[in-house]
Amino acid sequence: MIEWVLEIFFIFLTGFMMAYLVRHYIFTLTVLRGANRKRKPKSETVSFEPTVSIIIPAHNEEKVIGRLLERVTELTYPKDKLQVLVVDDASSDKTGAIADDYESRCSFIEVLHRDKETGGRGKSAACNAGFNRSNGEVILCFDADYYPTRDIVEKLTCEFADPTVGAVQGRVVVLNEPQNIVTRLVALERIGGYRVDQEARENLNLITQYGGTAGGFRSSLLKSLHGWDENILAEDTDLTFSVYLAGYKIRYNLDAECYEEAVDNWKSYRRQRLRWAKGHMQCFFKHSWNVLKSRKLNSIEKIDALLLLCVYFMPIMGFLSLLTGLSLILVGSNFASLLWLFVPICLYSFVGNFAPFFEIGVGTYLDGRARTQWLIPLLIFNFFYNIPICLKAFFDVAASKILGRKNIVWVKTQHSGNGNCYIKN
Amino acid sequence: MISGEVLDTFAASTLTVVTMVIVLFFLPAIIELKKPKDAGPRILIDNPVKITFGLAKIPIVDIEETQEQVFPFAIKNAGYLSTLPNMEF
Repeated sequence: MIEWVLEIFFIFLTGFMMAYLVRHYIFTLTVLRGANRKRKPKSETVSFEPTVSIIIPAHNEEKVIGRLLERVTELTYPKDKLQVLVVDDASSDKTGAIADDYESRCSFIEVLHRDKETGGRGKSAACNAGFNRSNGEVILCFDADYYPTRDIVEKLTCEFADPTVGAVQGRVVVLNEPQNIVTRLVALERIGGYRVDQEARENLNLITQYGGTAGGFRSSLLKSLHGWDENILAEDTDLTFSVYLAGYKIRYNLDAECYEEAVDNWKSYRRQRLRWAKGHMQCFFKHSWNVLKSRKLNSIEKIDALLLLCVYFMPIMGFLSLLTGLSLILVGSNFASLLWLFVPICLYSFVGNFAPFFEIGVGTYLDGRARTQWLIPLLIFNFFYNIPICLKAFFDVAASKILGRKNIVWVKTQHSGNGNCYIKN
Repeated sequence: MISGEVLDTFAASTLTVVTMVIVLFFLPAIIELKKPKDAGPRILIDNPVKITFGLAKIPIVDIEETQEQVFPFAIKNAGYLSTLPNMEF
Protein backbone atom coordinates (compact mmCIF):
# COMPACT_ATOMS: atom_id res chain seq x y z
CA MET A 1 0.00 0.00 0.00
CA ILE A 2 2.77 2.43 1.02
CA GLU A 3 4.76 1.47 -2.05
CA TRP A 4 1.74 2.15 -4.27
CA VAL A 5 1.15 5.59 -2.70
CA LEU A 6 4.82 6.51 -3.04
CA GLU A 7 4.85 5.43 -6.69
CA ILE A 8 1.78 7.54 -7.54
CA PHE A 9 3.26 10.52 -5.71
CA PHE A 10 6.58 10.06 -7.49
CA ILE A 11 4.89 9.97 -10.90
CA PHE A 12 2.97 13.13 -10.05
CA LEU A 13 6.12 14.97 -8.95
CA THR A 14 8.09 13.83 -11.98
CA GLY A 15 5.28 14.87 -14.33
CA PHE A 16 5.11 18.24 -12.63
CA MET A 17 8.83 18.83 -13.07
CA MET A 18 8.72 17.57 -16.65
CA ALA A 19 6.17 20.29 -17.38
CA TYR A 20 8.69 22.91 -16.25
CA LEU A 21 11.43 21.18 -18.21
CA VAL A 22 9.38 21.39 -21.42
CA ARG A 23 8.29 24.96 -20.65
CA HIS A 24 11.86 26.20 -20.18
CA TYR A 25 13.11 24.39 -23.27
CA ILE A 26 10.33 25.97 -25.35
CA PHE A 27 11.16 29.40 -23.91
CA THR A 28 14.86 29.03 -24.67
CA LEU A 29 14.31 27.82 -28.23
CA THR A 30 11.78 30.58 -28.89
CA VAL A 31 14.20 33.29 -27.86
CA LEU A 32 17.08 31.71 -29.78
CA ARG A 33 14.96 31.51 -32.92
CA GLY A 34 13.95 35.14 -32.65
CA ALA A 35 17.38 36.45 -31.70
CA ASN A 36 18.56 37.07 -35.24
CA ARG A 37 15.53 39.13 -36.15
CA LYS A 38 16.49 42.78 -36.32
CA ARG A 39 13.70 44.83 -34.96
CA LYS A 40 13.22 48.49 -34.47
CA PRO A 41 12.39 49.56 -30.92
CA LYS A 42 8.65 50.11 -30.71
CA SER A 43 9.11 53.63 -29.34
CA GLU A 44 10.60 54.63 -32.69
CA THR A 45 7.61 53.40 -34.68
CA VAL A 46 4.76 54.18 -32.30
CA SER A 47 4.08 57.72 -31.18
CA PHE A 48 2.09 57.83 -27.97
CA GLU A 49 2.75 60.37 -25.22
CA PRO A 50 0.24 60.14 -22.40
CA THR A 51 0.65 61.92 -19.09
CA VAL A 52 2.79 59.78 -16.81
CA SER A 53 3.07 59.58 -13.04
CA ILE A 54 6.20 57.88 -11.70
CA ILE A 55 5.82 56.56 -8.16
CA ILE A 56 9.01 56.02 -6.16
CA PRO A 57 8.34 54.38 -2.77
CA ALA A 58 11.30 54.93 -0.45
CA HIS A 59 11.94 53.84 3.12
CA ASN A 60 15.42 54.72 4.45
CA GLU A 61 17.00 54.94 1.01
CA GLU A 62 19.36 57.89 1.57
CA LYS A 63 22.24 56.02 -0.08
CA VAL A 64 20.47 55.53 -3.39
CA ILE A 65 17.48 57.88 -3.71
CA GLY A 66 19.58 60.84 -4.85
CA ARG A 67 21.05 58.81 -7.70
CA LEU A 68 17.58 57.95 -9.01
CA LEU A 69 16.17 61.45 -8.61
CA GLU A 70 19.11 62.96 -10.45
CA ARG A 71 18.50 60.46 -13.21
CA VAL A 72 14.81 61.37 -13.25
CA THR A 73 15.78 64.98 -14.05
CA GLU A 74 17.63 63.63 -17.10
CA LEU A 75 14.69 61.68 -18.52
CA THR A 76 13.93 62.65 -22.09
CA TYR A 77 10.15 62.40 -21.71
CA PRO A 78 8.45 65.85 -21.88
CA LYS A 79 8.50 67.22 -18.35
CA ASP A 80 5.12 68.90 -18.80
CA LYS A 81 3.61 65.42 -19.12
CA LEU A 82 5.58 63.94 -16.24
CA GLN A 83 4.74 63.80 -12.55
CA VAL A 84 7.23 62.16 -10.19
CA LEU A 85 5.88 61.21 -6.77
CA VAL A 86 8.43 60.26 -4.15
CA VAL A 87 6.78 58.55 -1.20
CA ASP A 88 9.03 59.09 1.81
CA ASP A 89 7.61 56.18 3.77
CA ALA A 90 8.38 56.88 7.44
CA SER A 91 12.11 57.17 6.78
CA SER A 92 14.36 57.87 9.74
CA ASP A 93 17.38 58.90 7.64
CA LYS A 94 17.96 61.70 5.08
CA THR A 95 15.67 60.20 2.41
CA GLY A 96 13.02 62.86 2.97
CA ALA A 97 15.54 65.71 2.99
CA ILE A 98 17.16 64.56 -0.25
CA ALA A 99 13.76 64.23 -1.91
CA ASP A 100 12.71 67.68 -0.65
CA ASP A 101 15.85 69.15 -2.18
CA TYR A 102 14.85 67.83 -5.60
CA GLU A 103 11.25 68.93 -5.11
CA SER A 104 12.42 72.48 -4.51
CA ARG A 105 14.45 72.45 -7.73
CA CYS A 106 12.11 70.55 -10.06
CA SER A 107 8.49 71.46 -10.56
CA PHE A 108 7.49 67.97 -11.73
CA ILE A 109 8.81 66.24 -8.61
CA GLU A 110 6.51 65.98 -5.57
CA VAL A 111 7.28 64.42 -2.22
CA LEU A 112 4.74 62.75 -0.01
CA HIS A 113 5.94 62.33 3.57
CA ARG A 114 4.41 59.60 5.68
CA ASP A 115 5.12 59.37 9.38
CA LYS A 116 5.41 56.26 11.54
CA GLU A 117 1.69 56.21 12.20
CA THR A 118 0.51 56.36 8.60
CA GLY A 119 3.56 54.81 6.90
CA GLY A 120 6.14 52.04 7.23
CA ARG A 121 3.62 49.36 6.30
CA GLY A 122 5.39 48.10 3.22
CA LYS A 123 5.80 48.93 -0.42
CA SER A 124 2.18 48.27 -1.42
CA ALA A 125 0.83 50.79 1.07
CA ALA A 126 3.41 53.37 -0.05
CA CYS A 127 2.51 52.82 -3.70
CA ASN A 128 -1.18 53.23 -2.93
CA ALA A 129 -0.45 56.51 -1.16
CA GLY A 130 1.43 57.71 -4.23
CA PHE A 131 -1.29 56.47 -6.57
CA ASN A 132 -3.92 58.47 -4.69
CA ARG A 133 -1.94 61.62 -5.46
CA SER A 134 -1.21 60.75 -9.07
CA ASN A 135 -2.84 62.37 -12.08
CA GLY A 136 -1.17 60.57 -15.00
CA GLU A 137 -2.87 58.32 -17.52
CA VAL A 138 -0.01 55.88 -17.06
CA ILE A 139 1.48 54.96 -13.69
CA LEU A 140 5.10 53.79 -13.60
CA CYS A 141 6.94 52.48 -10.55
CA PHE A 142 10.63 52.56 -9.77
CA ASP A 143 12.29 51.25 -6.65
CA ALA A 144 14.65 53.73 -5.04
CA ASP A 145 17.76 51.72 -5.92
CA TYR A 146 17.02 51.68 -9.62
CA TYR A 147 18.85 53.61 -12.35
CA PRO A 148 16.94 53.73 -15.63
CA THR A 149 18.00 54.67 -19.15
CA ARG A 150 17.05 58.21 -20.15
CA ASP A 151 14.40 57.14 -22.63
CA ILE A 152 12.80 54.42 -20.54
CA VAL A 153 9.52 56.31 -20.12
CA GLU A 154 8.95 56.54 -23.88
CA LYS A 155 9.78 52.88 -24.31
CA LEU A 156 7.39 51.79 -21.59
CA THR A 157 4.48 54.09 -22.41
CA CYS A 158 4.44 53.36 -26.15
CA GLU A 159 3.07 49.90 -25.33
CA PHE A 160 -0.13 51.50 -24.05
CA ALA A 161 -1.02 52.67 -27.55
CA ASP A 162 -2.63 49.23 -27.77
CA PRO A 163 -5.88 49.49 -25.79
CA THR A 164 -5.69 45.82 -24.76
CA VAL A 165 -2.47 46.45 -22.85
CA GLY A 166 -3.01 47.01 -19.16
CA ALA A 167 0.56 46.94 -17.89
CA VAL A 168 4.13 46.97 -19.09
CA GLN A 169 7.45 45.69 -17.80
CA GLY A 170 10.99 46.68 -18.73
CA ARG A 171 14.23 44.75 -18.46
CA VAL A 172 16.19 44.79 -15.20
CA VAL A 173 19.98 44.53 -15.24
CA VAL A 174 22.14 44.22 -12.13
CA LEU A 175 24.29 47.31 -11.63
CA ASN A 176 26.69 46.02 -8.96
CA GLU A 177 27.27 42.67 -10.66
CA PRO A 178 31.09 42.57 -10.24
CA GLN A 179 30.90 43.24 -6.49
CA ASN A 180 31.06 39.67 -5.16
CA ILE A 181 29.89 36.13 -5.80
CA VAL A 182 26.35 36.84 -4.55
CA THR A 183 25.81 39.74 -6.93
CA ARG A 184 27.29 37.78 -9.82
CA LEU A 185 24.96 34.84 -9.24
CA VAL A 186 21.94 37.11 -8.81
CA ALA A 187 22.91 38.82 -12.08
CA LEU A 188 22.92 35.43 -13.80
CA GLU A 189 19.43 34.73 -12.50
CA ARG A 190 18.30 38.12 -13.80
CA ILE A 191 19.79 37.46 -17.22
CA GLY A 192 17.93 34.18 -17.50
CA GLY A 193 14.73 35.66 -16.18
CA TYR A 194 14.60 38.85 -18.25
CA ARG A 195 16.61 38.09 -21.37
CA VAL A 196 15.02 34.69 -21.97
CA ASP A 197 12.04 33.88 -19.72
CA GLN A 198 10.15 37.17 -19.99
CA GLU A 199 11.09 37.63 -23.64
CA ALA A 200 9.80 34.17 -24.50
CA ARG A 201 6.51 34.74 -22.70
CA GLU A 202 6.13 38.02 -24.55
CA ASN A 203 6.84 36.38 -27.92
CA LEU A 204 4.52 33.45 -27.21
CA ASN A 205 1.72 35.69 -25.83
CA LEU A 206 1.77 33.91 -22.51
CA ILE A 207 1.64 35.38 -19.02
CA THR A 208 4.22 38.15 -18.98
CA GLN A 209 5.01 39.14 -15.44
CA TYR A 210 5.03 42.63 -13.98
CA GLY A 211 8.18 42.71 -11.88
CA GLY A 212 7.21 45.37 -9.32
CA THR A 213 9.57 48.01 -10.67
CA ALA A 214 10.75 49.41 -14.02
CA GLY A 215 7.19 48.91 -15.22
CA GLY A 216 3.73 50.35 -14.91
CA PHE A 217 -0.01 50.31 -15.47
CA ARG A 218 -2.83 52.04 -17.20
CA SER A 219 -4.17 54.32 -14.45
CA SER A 220 -7.82 53.58 -15.15
CA LEU A 221 -7.19 49.85 -14.90
CA LEU A 222 -5.22 50.21 -11.68
CA LYS A 223 -8.08 52.23 -10.22
CA SER A 224 -10.58 49.51 -11.12
CA LEU A 225 -8.30 46.96 -9.45
CA HIS A 226 -8.20 49.15 -6.31
CA GLY A 227 -4.43 49.62 -6.53
CA TRP A 228 -1.96 47.39 -4.71
CA ASP A 229 -3.16 44.68 -2.31
CA GLU A 230 -1.49 45.56 1.00
CA ASN A 231 -2.01 42.02 2.34
CA ILE A 232 0.18 40.38 -0.31
CA LEU A 233 3.97 40.38 -0.06
CA ALA A 234 4.43 39.86 -3.81
CA GLU A 235 2.32 42.77 -4.97
CA ASP A 236 3.83 42.53 -8.46
CA THR A 237 2.70 38.95 -9.01
CA ASP A 238 -0.70 39.76 -7.55
CA LEU A 239 -1.21 42.64 -9.96
CA THR A 240 0.07 40.52 -12.85
CA PHE A 241 -2.76 38.07 -12.40
CA SER A 242 -5.31 40.76 -11.61
CA VAL A 243 -4.49 42.45 -14.93
CA TYR A 244 -4.86 39.24 -16.94
CA LEU A 245 -8.03 38.21 -15.13
CA ALA A 246 -9.47 41.63 -15.95
CA GLY A 247 -8.99 40.82 -19.64
CA TYR A 248 -5.90 42.94 -20.30
CA LYS A 249 -2.37 41.99 -21.36
CA ILE A 250 1.05 42.82 -19.99
CA ARG A 251 3.75 43.71 -22.48
CA TYR A 252 7.45 43.18 -21.88
CA ASN A 253 9.79 45.62 -23.60
CA LEU A 254 13.33 44.22 -23.75
CA ASP A 255 14.68 47.60 -24.89
CA ALA A 256 13.35 49.46 -21.83
CA GLU A 257 16.31 48.79 -19.56
CA CYS A 258 16.96 49.73 -15.98
CA TYR A 259 19.84 49.01 -13.61
CA GLU A 260 19.14 47.69 -10.10
CA GLU A 261 21.30 47.19 -7.05
CA ALA A 262 21.26 43.47 -6.25
CA VAL A 263 21.59 42.05 -2.75
CA ASP A 264 25.25 41.57 -1.90
CA ASN A 265 25.20 39.05 0.95
CA TRP A 266 23.51 35.72 1.60
CA LYS A 267 21.47 37.02 4.55
CA SER A 268 19.83 39.70 2.40
CA TYR A 269 19.40 37.17 -0.39
CA ARG A 270 17.57 34.83 1.99
CA ARG A 271 15.30 37.60 3.31
CA GLN A 272 14.46 38.82 -0.16
CA ARG A 273 13.73 35.37 -1.56
CA LEU A 274 11.71 34.44 1.51
CA ARG A 275 9.52 37.48 0.92
CA TRP A 276 9.19 36.64 -2.76
CA ALA A 277 8.39 32.99 -2.03
CA LYS A 278 5.76 33.84 0.59
CA GLY A 279 4.18 36.47 -1.64
CA HIS A 280 4.11 34.13 -4.60
CA MET A 281 2.50 31.39 -2.56
CA GLN A 282 -0.08 33.89 -1.29
CA CYS A 283 -0.85 34.67 -4.93
CA PHE A 284 -1.22 30.97 -5.66
CA PHE A 285 -3.93 30.66 -3.01
CA LYS A 286 -5.57 33.90 -4.14
CA HIS A 287 -5.57 33.45 -7.91
CA SER A 288 -5.24 29.79 -8.91
CA TRP A 289 -8.97 29.03 -8.79
CA ASN A 290 -9.78 32.30 -10.57
CA VAL A 291 -7.29 31.39 -13.31
CA LEU A 292 -8.87 27.97 -13.77
CA LYS A 293 -12.39 29.32 -14.18
CA SER A 294 -11.50 32.52 -16.05
CA ARG A 295 -13.11 33.00 -19.47
CA LYS A 296 -10.62 35.71 -20.37
CA LEU A 297 -7.67 33.30 -20.58
CA ASN A 298 -7.27 30.54 -23.16
CA SER A 299 -6.07 27.04 -22.23
CA ILE A 300 -2.41 27.69 -22.95
CA GLU A 301 -2.47 30.91 -20.91
CA LYS A 302 -4.11 29.04 -18.03
CA ILE A 303 -1.43 26.36 -18.07
CA ASP A 304 1.34 28.96 -18.13
CA ALA A 305 -0.37 30.98 -15.42
CA LEU A 306 -0.62 27.96 -13.12
CA LEU A 307 3.00 27.00 -13.75
CA LEU A 308 4.01 30.58 -12.94
CA LEU A 309 1.97 30.52 -9.73
CA CYS A 310 3.62 27.25 -8.67
CA VAL A 311 7.19 28.26 -9.44
CA TYR A 312 8.17 28.73 -5.79
CA PHE A 313 6.85 25.28 -4.95
CA MET A 314 9.37 23.75 -7.35
CA PRO A 315 12.35 23.57 -4.96
CA ILE A 316 10.03 21.84 -2.48
CA MET A 317 8.82 19.46 -5.19
CA GLY A 318 12.38 18.63 -6.20
CA PHE A 319 13.31 17.92 -2.60
CA LEU A 320 10.21 15.75 -2.10
CA SER A 321 10.92 13.81 -5.28
CA LEU A 322 14.40 13.01 -4.07
CA LEU A 323 13.01 11.82 -0.72
CA THR A 324 10.28 9.83 -2.44
CA GLY A 325 12.71 8.20 -4.84
CA LEU A 326 15.00 7.28 -1.97
CA SER A 327 12.06 5.80 -0.08
CA LEU A 328 11.05 3.74 -3.12
CA ILE A 329 14.54 2.30 -3.34
CA LEU A 330 14.54 1.48 0.37
CA VAL A 331 11.19 -0.34 0.13
CA GLY A 332 12.55 -2.30 -2.86
CA SER A 333 10.22 -0.97 -5.52
CA ASN A 334 11.02 -2.10 -9.07
CA PHE A 335 9.29 1.01 -10.37
CA ALA A 336 11.97 3.25 -8.90
CA SER A 337 14.74 1.65 -10.88
CA LEU A 338 13.08 2.82 -14.11
CA LEU A 339 11.84 6.28 -13.16
CA TRP A 340 14.72 7.20 -10.88
CA LEU A 341 16.57 8.46 -13.96
CA PHE A 342 13.99 11.20 -14.37
CA VAL A 343 14.77 12.73 -11.01
CA PRO A 344 18.32 13.84 -11.75
CA ILE A 345 17.30 14.90 -15.26
CA CYS A 346 14.42 17.05 -14.04
CA LEU A 347 16.43 18.33 -11.11
CA TYR A 348 19.18 19.44 -13.45
CA SER A 349 16.81 20.97 -15.94
CA PHE A 350 14.72 23.14 -13.67
CA VAL A 351 17.30 23.89 -11.00
CA GLY A 352 17.64 27.60 -10.44
CA ASN A 353 13.96 28.06 -9.76
CA PHE A 354 13.75 31.40 -11.56
CA ALA A 355 15.91 30.62 -14.53
CA PRO A 356 17.22 27.20 -15.27
CA PHE A 357 20.74 26.66 -16.40
CA PHE A 358 20.12 26.56 -20.12
CA GLU A 359 17.98 29.71 -20.05
CA ILE A 360 20.82 31.53 -18.30
CA GLY A 361 23.38 30.08 -20.68
CA VAL A 362 21.44 31.27 -23.70
CA GLY A 363 20.75 34.63 -22.07
CA THR A 364 24.43 35.28 -21.43
CA TYR A 365 25.25 34.15 -24.96
CA LEU A 366 22.71 36.55 -26.45
CA ASP A 367 24.08 39.35 -24.28
CA GLY A 368 27.59 38.62 -25.54
CA ARG A 369 28.78 37.62 -22.05
CA ALA A 370 30.28 34.23 -22.80
CA ARG A 371 32.79 34.35 -19.94
CA THR A 372 30.00 34.78 -17.39
CA GLN A 373 28.68 31.35 -18.38
CA TRP A 374 31.61 29.84 -16.48
CA LEU A 375 29.80 30.74 -13.25
CA ILE A 376 26.60 28.84 -14.11
CA PRO A 377 27.57 25.61 -12.23
CA LEU A 378 27.62 27.66 -9.00
CA LEU A 379 23.88 28.23 -9.35
CA ILE A 380 23.36 24.73 -8.03
CA PHE A 381 24.16 26.20 -4.60
CA ASN A 382 21.43 28.78 -5.12
CA PHE A 383 19.03 25.95 -5.86
CA PHE A 384 19.87 24.06 -2.68
CA TYR A 385 19.81 27.30 -0.70
CA ASN A 386 16.31 28.00 -2.02
CA ILE A 387 14.93 24.68 -0.77
CA PRO A 388 14.84 25.62 2.94
CA ILE A 389 13.77 29.16 2.00
CA CYS A 390 10.75 27.91 0.05
CA LEU A 391 9.98 25.30 2.72
CA LYS A 392 9.88 28.00 5.40
CA ALA A 393 7.77 30.23 3.16
CA PHE A 394 5.31 27.41 2.62
CA PHE A 395 4.96 26.64 6.32
CA ASP A 396 4.58 30.34 7.16
CA VAL A 397 1.88 30.87 4.55
CA ALA A 398 0.09 27.62 5.42
CA ALA A 399 0.12 28.53 9.13
CA SER A 400 -1.28 31.99 8.46
CA LYS A 401 -4.01 30.46 6.28
CA ILE A 402 -4.94 27.87 8.90
CA LEU A 403 -4.85 30.33 11.78
CA GLY A 404 -6.54 33.05 9.75
CA ARG A 405 -3.74 35.56 10.31
CA LYS A 406 -3.42 38.51 7.97
CA ASN A 407 -0.51 40.34 9.58
CA ILE A 408 2.00 41.02 6.88
CA VAL A 409 5.53 41.93 7.91
CA TRP A 410 7.40 43.57 5.09
CA VAL A 411 11.14 42.90 5.45
CA LYS A 412 12.82 45.59 3.40
CA THR A 413 15.90 44.88 1.30
CA GLN A 414 18.72 47.10 2.53
CA HIS A 415 20.50 49.08 -0.15
CA SER A 416 24.05 50.11 0.59
CA GLY A 417 24.68 52.25 -2.47
CA ASN A 418 27.49 49.90 -3.48
CA GLY A 419 26.22 50.09 -7.03
CA ASN A 420 27.39 53.72 -7.17
CA CYS A 421 31.02 52.65 -7.49
CA TYR A 422 30.23 51.11 -10.87
CA ILE A 423 29.14 54.46 -12.18
CA LYS A 424 31.46 56.67 -10.18
CA ASN A 425 35.18 57.41 -10.17
CA MET B 1 32.32 -13.36 -2.53
CA ILE B 2 34.05 -10.03 -2.96
CA SER B 3 36.90 -9.46 -0.56
CA GLY B 4 37.10 -6.48 1.72
CA GLU B 5 40.25 -5.22 0.03
CA VAL B 6 38.57 -5.10 -3.36
CA LEU B 7 35.61 -3.23 -1.88
CA ASP B 8 37.92 -0.70 -0.22
CA THR B 9 39.78 -0.15 -3.47
CA PHE B 10 36.51 0.26 -5.36
CA ALA B 11 35.21 2.77 -2.82
CA ALA B 12 38.45 4.76 -2.88
CA SER B 13 38.50 4.81 -6.70
CA THR B 14 34.88 5.91 -6.85
CA LEU B 15 35.50 8.65 -4.34
CA THR B 16 38.50 9.88 -6.31
CA VAL B 17 36.59 9.91 -9.58
CA VAL B 18 33.61 11.72 -8.04
CA THR B 19 35.91 14.29 -6.45
CA MET B 20 37.66 14.90 -9.74
CA VAL B 21 34.36 15.28 -11.57
CA ILE B 22 33.14 17.81 -9.01
CA VAL B 23 36.38 19.77 -9.18
CA LEU B 24 36.32 19.81 -12.99
CA PHE B 25 32.65 20.82 -12.92
CA PHE B 26 33.39 23.85 -10.79
CA LEU B 27 36.87 24.62 -12.12
CA PRO B 28 35.76 27.19 -14.75
CA ALA B 29 33.73 29.01 -12.11
CA ILE B 30 36.68 29.04 -9.71
CA ILE B 31 38.95 30.42 -12.44
CA GLU B 32 36.46 33.17 -13.31
CA LEU B 33 36.03 34.14 -9.65
CA LYS B 34 39.79 34.26 -9.06
CA LYS B 35 40.58 36.10 -12.26
CA PRO B 36 37.41 37.75 -13.48
CA LYS B 37 37.51 38.76 -17.11
CA ASP B 38 33.92 39.76 -17.52
CA ALA B 39 33.75 43.52 -16.90
CA GLY B 40 30.17 43.44 -15.64
CA PRO B 41 26.91 44.25 -17.34
CA ARG B 42 27.13 45.53 -20.89
CA ILE B 43 26.94 49.26 -21.13
CA LEU B 44 23.34 50.35 -21.05
CA ILE B 45 23.68 53.87 -19.80
CA ASP B 46 23.97 56.32 -22.67
CA ASN B 47 26.17 59.37 -22.11
CA PRO B 48 26.16 59.43 -18.32
CA VAL B 49 27.40 62.73 -16.96
CA LYS B 50 29.74 63.79 -14.20
CA ILE B 51 27.60 65.24 -11.47
CA THR B 52 27.53 65.45 -7.75
CA PHE B 53 24.38 65.21 -5.75
CA GLY B 54 23.70 67.94 -3.25
CA LEU B 55 22.89 66.30 0.04
CA ALA B 56 23.75 62.79 -1.06
CA LYS B 57 27.23 63.74 -2.38
CA ILE B 58 27.52 60.83 -4.75
CA PRO B 59 29.73 61.54 -7.77
CA ILE B 60 28.84 59.76 -11.00
CA VAL B 61 31.15 59.53 -13.97
CA ASP B 62 31.11 58.14 -17.45
CA ILE B 63 31.48 54.36 -17.41
CA GLU B 64 33.00 54.43 -20.90
CA GLU B 65 35.77 56.77 -19.69
CA THR B 66 36.46 54.57 -16.66
CA GLN B 67 36.76 51.47 -18.80
CA GLU B 68 39.10 53.21 -21.21
CA GLN B 69 41.38 54.18 -18.34
CA VAL B 70 41.39 50.62 -17.03
CA PHE B 71 41.91 48.85 -20.35
CA PRO B 72 43.94 51.23 -22.54
CA PHE B 73 45.98 48.41 -24.07
CA ALA B 74 42.83 46.54 -25.07
CA ILE B 75 41.21 49.60 -26.58
CA LYS B 76 44.29 50.58 -28.59
CA ASN B 77 44.95 47.08 -29.85
CA ALA B 78 41.33 46.09 -30.40
CA GLY B 79 41.97 45.79 -34.09
CA TYR B 80 44.70 43.19 -33.61
CA LEU B 81 42.77 41.38 -30.91
CA SER B 82 39.66 41.08 -33.04
CA THR B 83 41.51 38.88 -35.54
CA LEU B 84 42.25 36.25 -32.90
CA PRO B 85 39.81 33.32 -32.49
CA ASN B 86 37.62 33.21 -29.42
CA MET B 87 39.53 31.03 -26.95
CA GLU B 88 36.71 30.87 -24.42
CA PHE B 89 34.99 27.84 -25.94
